[in-house]
Amino acid sequence: MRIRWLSGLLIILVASATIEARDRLVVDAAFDPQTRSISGSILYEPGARKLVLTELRFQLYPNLFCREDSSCGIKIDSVRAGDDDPTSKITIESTNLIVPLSNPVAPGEAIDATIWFTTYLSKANSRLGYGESQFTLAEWFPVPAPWRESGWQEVAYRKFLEPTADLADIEARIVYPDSLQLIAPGVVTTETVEGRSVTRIGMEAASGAPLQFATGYQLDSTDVSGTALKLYYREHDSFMVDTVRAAATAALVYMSDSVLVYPFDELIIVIGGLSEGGGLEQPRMILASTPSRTVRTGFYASMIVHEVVHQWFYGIVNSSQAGTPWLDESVTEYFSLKIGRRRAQGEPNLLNAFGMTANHLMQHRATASSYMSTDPITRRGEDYFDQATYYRTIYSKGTLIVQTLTALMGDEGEASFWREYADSFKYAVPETEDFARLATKYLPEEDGGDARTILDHNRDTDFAIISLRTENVQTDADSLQSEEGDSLVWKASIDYLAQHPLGFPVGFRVVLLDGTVIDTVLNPTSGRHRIKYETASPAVAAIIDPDFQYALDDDFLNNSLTRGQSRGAALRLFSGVTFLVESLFSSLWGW
Amino acid sequence: MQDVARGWQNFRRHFAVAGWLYLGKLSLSLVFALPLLAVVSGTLDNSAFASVLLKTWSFDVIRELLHRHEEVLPAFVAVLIFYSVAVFFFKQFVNGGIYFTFMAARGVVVKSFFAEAAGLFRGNLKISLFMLFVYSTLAIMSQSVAAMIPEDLTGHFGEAAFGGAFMHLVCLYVFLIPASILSDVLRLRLAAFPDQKFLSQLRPAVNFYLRRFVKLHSIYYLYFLPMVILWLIIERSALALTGGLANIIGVFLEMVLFQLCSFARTSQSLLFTASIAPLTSDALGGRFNEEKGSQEARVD
Repeated sequence: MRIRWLSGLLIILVASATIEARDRLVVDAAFDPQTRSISGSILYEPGARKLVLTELRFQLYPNLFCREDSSCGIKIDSVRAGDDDPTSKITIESTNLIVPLSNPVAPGEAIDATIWFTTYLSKANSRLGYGESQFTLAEWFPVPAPWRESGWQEVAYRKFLEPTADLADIEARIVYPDSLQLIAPGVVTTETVEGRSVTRIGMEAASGAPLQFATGYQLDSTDVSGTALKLYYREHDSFMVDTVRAAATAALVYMSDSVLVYPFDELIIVIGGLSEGGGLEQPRMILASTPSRTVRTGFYASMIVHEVVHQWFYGIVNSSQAGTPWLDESVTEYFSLKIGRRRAQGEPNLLNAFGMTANHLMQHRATASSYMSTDPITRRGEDYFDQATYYRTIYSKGTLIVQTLTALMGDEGEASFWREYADSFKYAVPETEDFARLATKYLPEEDGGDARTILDHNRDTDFAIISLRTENVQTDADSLQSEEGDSLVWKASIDYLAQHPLGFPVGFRVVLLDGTVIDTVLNPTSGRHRIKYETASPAVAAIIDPDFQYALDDDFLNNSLTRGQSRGAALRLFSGVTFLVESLFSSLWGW
Repeated sequence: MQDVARGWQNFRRHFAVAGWLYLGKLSLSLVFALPLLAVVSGTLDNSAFASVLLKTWSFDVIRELLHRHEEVLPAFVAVLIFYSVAVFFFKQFVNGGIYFTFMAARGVVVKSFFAEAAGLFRGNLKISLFMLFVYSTLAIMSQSVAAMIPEDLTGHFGEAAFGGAFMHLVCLYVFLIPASILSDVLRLRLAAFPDQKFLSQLRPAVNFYLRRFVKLHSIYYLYFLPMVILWLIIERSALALTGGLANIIGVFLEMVLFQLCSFARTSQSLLFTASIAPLTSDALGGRFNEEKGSQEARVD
């Protein structure tokens, strides 16, 4: 226990060092809706560094989606570093801007740099684009590259990777036509003079300053435990406001209660603020796509919950969306499942039509099934080469892995783990190793298992009951008489298979004909094993991992062998398929 | 109303045809579905995880099943395509007998049924190939129209996806039903004039179809809409039964209801054919009018 306390303190000390070193960004820019561009300057004041600085590095994330020589993305007009003008010496490679310093900056010495830029919006880009009377600006100015103890970190972005940035204190002054409405977090003041509005923004510990210029949005504001939940929507999307408010409130309350109290005073959700389907997390702001009118299943609410959870995992715990995407998306999606279960008071049904059911976790099992042994979730984002593999591994397999890991911690262990994790890495950037080290402490101590075994898992794991045999044997009546006077003893012999078990215990249950349930725990090694019981009643079912703790298990159907429990299941499937085929024939050929 | 009454009489007279055709359809479906039962029964009936299938159509169980028997889905689709083709040819064969039976004023013996089936096989095949072209064109048109439905009326997930798919299906049916009626008229014309070439059949059949467009469609929807309502009632009842009982009795009762629905679908289709056959016979003439005339002459 003392070791746990000391390591927690150590992590907090490391994290607090990062807080002290937070950068300061001052942005001054004007938005022109005619040219669909925003131009201005950014003043960069880096926090204290322990290394000599010979260059400054920035990220131009929107340029990832641009071809060269086009009015697209961020264009650098000029640069000043201290008293120098290194404009002619800067290097722009893909999304990286490198500003060489003529005089190296010693540790503790102050330096500032100003970059004048113009950023162009593109219709095809949902992050930095425009649509019907609205303009979305996310990652619209150069942001400093991530800094670690070893120096600047170069992120090799792929188009499916989201931007990553260290948290900074941001001040911004935005000028724009007063015909437009600005929706943005951290607004301090807005003044309007001669047809132009000037808004001042201040945000602490943020990775960016998102802006949404639009017309016709209405505001629905609710106080959720001291946080202003602001929903912006247009009239035609008003039908979704109640759903979004309920989902966001549930997520805010759950995360504040279970992980870490939301430290900011507002959360903005723009309904219909994104051109593409889905949602986009931004600091203290969520851009959600235009909702479909026939959505009744809570899919939209589920998406809102996911984006709200991102305010913790990326917004507060600044997990790198490109470096360790699983710490961002897998963890977030896992919490979305948990909140969904709490809201539905059980497994939420994603279909709910014509008696059909499909739960959310099972959807991830379906998506991840072909990727269980292709890539571990702990790979860096840049090591994924195609979008399908990335999404299915990080979102689906990752969710199954986090689900398995936390199930092994137990309810209390899991609750403590998430609180300690969030406390330790508040405003800091955790790595996989940090997560694994902390998680290992909360796994059952007697097993000595390492969380890293589960996180790096990349094999097909399966627990299966192969056979269940029972026999009644006449034995010595004096020694084996039951209370009812029966002299028969039943022997059960159960063969089970553990394929690539994770080195952690797994529950095992035997059900007898008289209703008795015998629960035990196994520590299986890979291979086929036999377990024997002597009972007063014949065994009718054997189940390995009866609570389905191992979400990674390749096949849940073979986890049990029962006698008669689901007789008729195959007949029902047969009946349905027969009817479907008959209906198909009828539709195709008339009768 | 008189046409509907004549149609019912005609259908009742040849009710056995509906029974045999339903049994044919069921047999073909069973040939397809029984191997599936053989493959999955061991897996599902011994698994506690699968027991939820007794209550709901659990895609979670079906997903696990498909994942476990990865070979099943491709085989399932391949066999389904094979049987669809087999059923297509079988249908073209029996079509001749069916349309002849409902056009004939007298009863039809099995021998004449199959003799006409064989005799009209090529003609029905030609009509089907022509109709395939018509159906394909209309299907594309219907989906183009369905695509014009505003995006916010449909969705991509869950019930919304069902809603979207349902709207596409409704559009498809609205476009295909007129073609299906034309197909019936063409086949009835073929049964009346078995010796004429396809192109000679086409113009009078289309003329007849266009002149009686409203009447033909009214009769079709008169039978089709109650069938859809019946299908919905049966579907809901089956779900309530299986969900409530959650055992093999519920499954069995659901199976019976499904088959009742399947029989109703066959009957609805034949009832329509039985209703328009006398209309076609009256208007287009052909060998059945000569037959009717000679019968009337004998009575006089």
